[in-house]
Amino acid sequence: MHDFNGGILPSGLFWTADVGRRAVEFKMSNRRAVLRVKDLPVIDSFQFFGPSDTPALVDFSVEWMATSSPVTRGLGNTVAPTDPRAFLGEIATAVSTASISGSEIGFEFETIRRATTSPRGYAQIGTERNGVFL
Amino acid sequence: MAPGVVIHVFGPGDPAVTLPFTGITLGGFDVEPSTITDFNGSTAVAYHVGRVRASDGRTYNLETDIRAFEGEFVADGAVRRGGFALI
Repeated sequence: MHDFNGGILPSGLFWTADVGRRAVEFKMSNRRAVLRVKDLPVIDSFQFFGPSDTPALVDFSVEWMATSSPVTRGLGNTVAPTDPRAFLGEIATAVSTASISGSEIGFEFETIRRATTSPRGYAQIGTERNGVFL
Repeated sequence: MAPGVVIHVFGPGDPAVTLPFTGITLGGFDVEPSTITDFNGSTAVAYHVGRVRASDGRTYNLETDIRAFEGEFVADGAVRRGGFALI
């Protein structure tokens, strides 16, 4: 098994990388989105929270398209900040496809056709605010 | 994981969906997609399923949790704007 992830940054961001605003594009009032990243440094931890990390680079191109009307989600600051519902958002279900490739010393991979969220996965798209923005 | 450390990562999605390879069941529609505290913006989440071809000659099952975020966030006490990806 290989588990390519963004690791934990000194800022505390977990599996989350600053890819810059040019890499992420939301359009059509958040009905569509595109994420394109090349040579993003990640780690291969071989399993969830695995004890050994191997540096790797990944490229991915991901597209989302909403398939429903957005629905209001979350409970805002009526619940504790650590509660999974401590946000407010307008979120629609979506479909998404992805082309992904990666490399580390001695190992490379690329997707066979585009990976998809339908019928066996899931995707969503929308807006949200949390923390001080509630 | 050190005691007291809080991870701001949840698994939003249709609770009727169980991902095929990890066996993880998604957490529900009222579950926060962002992994950034003090965030205001657009979010997209995708759990893809597919196959990859590797340099060792094998094919592997692929399952993802990829998210995109674009919007305002707070860093060092100031509101900034940026783009992020969870992988």
